[in-house]
Amino acid sequence: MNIIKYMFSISCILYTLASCSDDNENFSHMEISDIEILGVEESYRKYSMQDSLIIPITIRSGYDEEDLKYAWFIYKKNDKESVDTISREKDLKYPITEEPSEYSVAVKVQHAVNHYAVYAKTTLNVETAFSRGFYILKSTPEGNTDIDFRAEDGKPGYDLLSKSLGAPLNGYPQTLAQMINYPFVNKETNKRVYGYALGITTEKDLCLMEVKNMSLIHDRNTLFFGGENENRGKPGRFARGYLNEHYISADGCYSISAGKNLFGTNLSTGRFPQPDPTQGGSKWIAFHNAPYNWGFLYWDEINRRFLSLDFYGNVSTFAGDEAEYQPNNINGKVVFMGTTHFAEANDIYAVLQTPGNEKRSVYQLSYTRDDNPIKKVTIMEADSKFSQADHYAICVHSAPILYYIADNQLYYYSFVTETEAPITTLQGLPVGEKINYVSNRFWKALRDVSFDYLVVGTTAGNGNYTLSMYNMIGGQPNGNPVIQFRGVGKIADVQYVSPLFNEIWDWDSSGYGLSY
Amino acid sequence: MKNHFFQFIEGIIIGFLVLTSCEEKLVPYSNEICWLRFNVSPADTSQSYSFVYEGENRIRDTLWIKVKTIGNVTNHDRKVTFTQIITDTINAEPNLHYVDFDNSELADLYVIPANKTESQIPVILKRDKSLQRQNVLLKFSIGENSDFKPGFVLPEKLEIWITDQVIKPANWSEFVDWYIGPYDKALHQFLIEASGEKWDYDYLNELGLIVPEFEDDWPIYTNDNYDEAYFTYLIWTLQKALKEENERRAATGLGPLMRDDNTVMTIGD
Repeated sequence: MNIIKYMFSISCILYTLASCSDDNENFSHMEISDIEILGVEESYRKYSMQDSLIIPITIRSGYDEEDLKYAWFIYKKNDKESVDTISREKDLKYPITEEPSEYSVAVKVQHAVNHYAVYAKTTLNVETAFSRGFYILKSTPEGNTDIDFRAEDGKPGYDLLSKSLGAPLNGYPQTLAQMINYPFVNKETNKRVYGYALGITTEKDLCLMEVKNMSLIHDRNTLFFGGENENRGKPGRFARGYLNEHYISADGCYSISAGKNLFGTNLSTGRFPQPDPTQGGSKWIAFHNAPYNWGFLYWDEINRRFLSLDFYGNVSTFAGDEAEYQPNNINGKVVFMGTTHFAEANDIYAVLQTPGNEKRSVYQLSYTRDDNPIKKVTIMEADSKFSQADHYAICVHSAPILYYIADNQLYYYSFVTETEAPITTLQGLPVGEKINYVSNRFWKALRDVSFDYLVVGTTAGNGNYTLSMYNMIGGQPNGNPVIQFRGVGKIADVQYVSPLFNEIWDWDSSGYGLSY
Repeated sequence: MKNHFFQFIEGIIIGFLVLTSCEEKLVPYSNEICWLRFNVSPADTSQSYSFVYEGENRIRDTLWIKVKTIGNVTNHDRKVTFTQIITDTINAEPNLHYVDFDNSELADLYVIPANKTESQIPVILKRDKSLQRQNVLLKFSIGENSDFKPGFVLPEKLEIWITDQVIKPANWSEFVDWYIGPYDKALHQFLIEASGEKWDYDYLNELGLIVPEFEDDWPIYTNDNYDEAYFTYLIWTLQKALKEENERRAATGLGPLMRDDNTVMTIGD
């Protein structure tokens, strides 16, 4: 009997243990069909409040289509908490109302019974009608300032400042600046935001316009803390630096943190405090990628000296040395300044005019901490086209040359051979028009359009302009203009604006950055 | 022997059935004890109040303290008790610096109303002349009474510094020390006169300056209201004002403005 009890107890224990284990033989395995989603492109670009995102998809699967469920989602890039479901239909037809930005759009196709699901994703770049294209800063017949616009698809917009502000901006135009991720207070929501802006200066006035809708962010009365109570010197220019937004004038250099920078600082209201204690400035600046500085050299036309502006927004002067040409108390004025990054250089060139001297000088500078930044000065002959030119521009990436206009002819000066020559490959200009503007405008942001144009402005002398843009080979225009655009006024500056600029990549990793 | 065997089997089967038939029954909440706690953010556990900003005619002022119950709701008013905690510093005296918590005039206000879980309880401060020379501390906690025990949710104690002088706001942190200067009554008085602002807790809060919080042991001194550019501009205007004041003083034969610690006053240097 004891043996029976013993054996029964053992059996119970074994039964208990066995009932706790998995029994795989109770599951049956069955092959299920896969789902493949076709028809979703890698990216789309649409205008907000104008376009719809239409994505018809094709499903390749062994399942019956009527057993499949669909869901489309949208969320801001890198912000998965903003996910919104926008459709449950197979094909997407979604009117775009989102703010300009980069978004991800995803579709989920799921079997209704076994819940097997597959996803496909695409990038949606939402823009507005103004957020991509060329802006042309021009003088009006009365000598004031306005802006024209050529959208990416060629649609024109004329006299945008007059339409937005009620009148052109007072004074002759000076510069147009790409102000990337400029911080400001949204007037409707009263919240701090950041967006793309145009920084416009004239000889008498200034304004900042939001690119998204061509609305005014700041004018001279609201741009500064303290308003117009403080004396404000002659406007120079706006400039976006590595981490900061800058405004330089005869008062000096003003700086605020950019809206979206590497260090993620608190959003500013976009108004400037007092300028750096080192006073003086002008519209002439040159950007450089010198390590640990990533800033600008600029010209102080009050004190006739070169100054340095680093990526923190600190201004410093340069010490003199024993060299013949000194960075301070220069007897002359800068008539052009720019940087060539050809072959990854950071060479800055400034053209100076000395009073009473018909010879112009080419200063070659490079950033060196505290030392004299002037490396070399070349004096150009008085009878050279260089010394007679009335407009200069630098070739930033394609060749180490300087462009200039003399006697209705486009010339270039080679920094390497130190010789000048006419540009002979310029084709397709309107017959009978005179050249009165030249610049090099480029764009090479990550996952965006890419170009490097020689931009030439001409006029028939009737108050109209024609803007012609050329591809280049070695800094020389190649073929006919790829873009030609006409308007009324005289061109002062041209800039390209795109809603895509990667703060981490596009400053120096791509080597292109912004144009000044 | 057969009976023992079958009893054994029965025991196994019954035990098996018992083990596999367990279920949990929920017990209704029946705790009659009610607790009361301060409903105050950690940043407000230490506050400061100065009569100096309120004009000569203000002899009393009220701070409203939020409290919240834990436990049952009742259909009658329940009494709230605050108890002063005596500390090693200069303590506020009841009925001299504040209306005693047990004052019968306050009885109707020191309640959680019927069918409510929250209320705001007044702490009435009094402007005694002694406050022109010293800061006093009123530290207090929830007191136990027949309706409530002190709650177990922090904070357990609140502090109110009372004075009739300028007082260092709780959110004048080392961040402000760095950018403006270490706190000093003379410095504070100058800031008020130069800017027309109180430079009290509320003003600093408007500037986006907070009582330091910590994130991964890293101190955070500002919130989203903070605008570095505006703060920079403000410091610059104050520096200008100080320079102008010292020039005025020099013109009349006086030395530069001094801090209370007898060092020359500077701002942001």
